[in-house]
Amino acid sequence: MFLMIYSKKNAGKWVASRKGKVLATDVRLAGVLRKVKDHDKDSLQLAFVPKTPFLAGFHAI
Amino acid sequence: MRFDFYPYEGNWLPIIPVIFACKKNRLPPILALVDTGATHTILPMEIATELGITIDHDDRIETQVAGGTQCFIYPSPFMIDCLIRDPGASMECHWRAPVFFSEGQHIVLLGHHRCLEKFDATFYGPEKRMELHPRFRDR
Repeated sequence: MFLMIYSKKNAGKWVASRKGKVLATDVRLAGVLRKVKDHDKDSLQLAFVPKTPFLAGFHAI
Repeated sequence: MRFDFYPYEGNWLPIIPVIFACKKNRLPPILALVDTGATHTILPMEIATELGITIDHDDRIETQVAGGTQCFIYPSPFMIDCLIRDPGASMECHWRAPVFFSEGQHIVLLGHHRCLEKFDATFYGPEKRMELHPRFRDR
């Protein structure tokens, strides 16, 4: 089972989900945490969905 | 510890849930990209706020992302507790790591320093999954 949280619909938002179901979204982490504050914390999953494709890799400091 | 890749815009990426905590503050599992090209672990600044960490904005380090774009990152004043769980088994492992926070980086990146370097990481691309085997004692 794959959860399609990384969808354009959720771009630019934090997404809270549980067992494949999106419970809440918000542009701010604090906002989505507030919306799911009554849920069991360990059963949740949070993710930020970027607006643009990943191009990660910090390689120098 | 086995993790399935996540679909993202036609690609499949090595993304795993990680629980971050600092002192008594603990967040739900957050999806993090296993970034073998990253030197350090980078967390969005919003996570610092939720963990109750005050960042010294004068203590910043200029760095580069792949491609050469420059950005600033801020070291956490505290070690951060990191915990991952195998979704298909009861196995979990916990370690403490120094991390950096970034204003412009919203994706959690798991880098080498004190993080990926603690594991054997094997990517099974065609099967769209990865395995992490800790090479340290849980603490």
